[in-house]
Amino acid sequence: MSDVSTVESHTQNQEAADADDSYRILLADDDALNRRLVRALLEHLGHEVVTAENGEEAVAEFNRQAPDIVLMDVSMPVMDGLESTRLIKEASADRFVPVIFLTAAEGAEALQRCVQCGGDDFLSKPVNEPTLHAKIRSFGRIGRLHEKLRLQKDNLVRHSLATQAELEVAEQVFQRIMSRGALDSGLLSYRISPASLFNGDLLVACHTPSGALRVLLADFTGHGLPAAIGALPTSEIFYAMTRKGCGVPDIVYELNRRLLDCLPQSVFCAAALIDFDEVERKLEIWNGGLPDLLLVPASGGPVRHFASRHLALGIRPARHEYGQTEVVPFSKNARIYGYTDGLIESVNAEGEMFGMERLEELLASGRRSDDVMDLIVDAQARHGGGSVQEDDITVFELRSPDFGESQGGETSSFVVPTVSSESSIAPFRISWEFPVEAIRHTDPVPLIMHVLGELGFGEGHSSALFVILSELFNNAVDHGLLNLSSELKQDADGFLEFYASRASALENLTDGRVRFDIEFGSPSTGGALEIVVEDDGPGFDPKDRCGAEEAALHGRGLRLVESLTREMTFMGRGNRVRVVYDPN
Amino acid sequence: MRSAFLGDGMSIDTTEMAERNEVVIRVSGRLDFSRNTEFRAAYEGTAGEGTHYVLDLTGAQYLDSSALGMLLVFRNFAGGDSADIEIRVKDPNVRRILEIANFQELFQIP
Repeated sequence: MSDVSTVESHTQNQEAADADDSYRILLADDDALNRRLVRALLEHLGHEVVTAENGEEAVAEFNRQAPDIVLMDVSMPVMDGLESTRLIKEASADRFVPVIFLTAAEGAEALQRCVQCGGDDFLSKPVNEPTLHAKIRSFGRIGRLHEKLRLQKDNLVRHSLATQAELEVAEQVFQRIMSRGALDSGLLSYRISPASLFNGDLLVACHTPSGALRVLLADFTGHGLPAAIGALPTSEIFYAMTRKGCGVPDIVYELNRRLLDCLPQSVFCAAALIDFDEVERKLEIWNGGLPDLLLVPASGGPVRHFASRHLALGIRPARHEYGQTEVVPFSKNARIYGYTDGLIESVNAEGEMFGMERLEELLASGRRSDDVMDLIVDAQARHGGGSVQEDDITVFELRSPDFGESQGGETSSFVVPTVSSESSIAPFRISWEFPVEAIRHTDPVPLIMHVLGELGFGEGHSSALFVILSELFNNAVDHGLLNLSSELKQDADGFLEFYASRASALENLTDGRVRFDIEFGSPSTGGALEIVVEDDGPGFDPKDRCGAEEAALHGRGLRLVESLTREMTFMGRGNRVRVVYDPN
Repeated sequence: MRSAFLGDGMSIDTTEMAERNEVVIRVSGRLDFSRNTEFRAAYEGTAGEGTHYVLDLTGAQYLDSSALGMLLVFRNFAGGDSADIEIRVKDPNVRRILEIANFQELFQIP
């Protein structure tokens, strides 16, 4: 019989309290009969009951059992319900534990005291089941909801702190990346103002072995960590390939390939690459997805735009023309500006964008000014009128130096090593031959540099060797295979024409090759490095090359090679040049 | 600060014209990452590759770079390089953003 009733009540309890509706309830009442009665009712409803006989016990049980709800008698010995409630509420300040007073027919004043000490509701004695059930249910739910919100809030706080900490790490990574390069070159100035703690914009600069200055401005979609993820391979590739002397298109292809591999589809990188060759005073520009780069001539005249001609990096595998760059002269004191879209798209209170026109006017009027960066930042801040900056803003200026202020003549940026441990380099002899198909799509110089580096002609020799190899190679291709005339390069129009005709001539060339023979340690050179570059073009009359008018006929490039080597001789029909580089 | 654009007219509607194998997705208001879920939902139930999509942005006043990323994800859904997506634009700023990104190489933008 008793067995049956247990089973029955158990089933009922299950129904009354589906998993969500069962609570641990602390019942404090000094009247034993009352305790038994209410406990029975509560247990019948499926709740777990903890009892206390006075206020002090109630506080102790509360701390020990952490109940969800408290049912509190008002007058009890030792400590009354009011004081007990005050202590319980104090102890549970961070969570919501409803306290419901069990009252006899108290007056309004007594009820008010119950509220003042933190009570949440009243139940009049004798307690009846439906009222008890309803109160427990509604307060239980409020309590659970409260608890859930509290946990979520704690989670958010914890999460936000963790994110903040991660972003700070990422920011340090970013700053280290940027400070490794040549951003402090006197020719560059820049401003970076991140919208979030840290920036989706990356600005890095680095010198090539021949002393050209490369600048990369990259704007990753999004801010924070996604941007940092992309920034690492981007900067690594940029630095490594620039230091090896790889061309801008090669870097573009490699960056695109790597970002495509590692970034999720919705993240990509709008970027611009600039190569400034101080010797030739030319700029090579690639823009994929950034707003127009603006070239401001020193002498007045219109601002020239270099619009984005390519998709941003990391969107899809490169097509044939993806690496195509624009080459322009960069005359003394001219300046070129690059920036991310945050600058021109910043909006004032009227919804009006800062805009490229405003920027262009500013740059044109500041062409003689030394602090254009400040002018831009001020104008932008005035435009925004104190409204919140929404996107990262990065802007940089690259200046073509005066002869006086650059480090002087054409060769000064190439340091020829004075001391070297000649004995540490073993003798070697290597030859390469590059057919026109290879020349069209790759630049062999970095490859050769790499091998020479491995053989011991690395650090200390790379700038000089890079200049020698690339000038001789370009000479072989431009004048040997393609038969172009350097005279074209004298003025600005010809300059452009030269690079345009070089590209198309190379595309149309079907036959030809350039050969490198490099030997070190042969007795005939007395322990120097001998480099012979030969092309199979029609050649020149060697007399034209070696006669008295040599200086006038040689391009600046060859003069440079001459200054870096011990001997330079043209041989054969002028299609073969031999230089001797002294490593000591 | 761009709340000036946050009018009431923010919506993304999808109209499927099965007989023409065409799906028109009309976006109004601004398109940025806050609307990513909504934007995805607008095309995810549709047939994907082989469908002619018209993404009507004539009612959109603002588009940011995260929206460009969303367009790329959409393009992938619609078949990647074989996707057939036409984007209609009216606002010059929206058009300029698409042009700077050279998205005319990836989408038909008349």
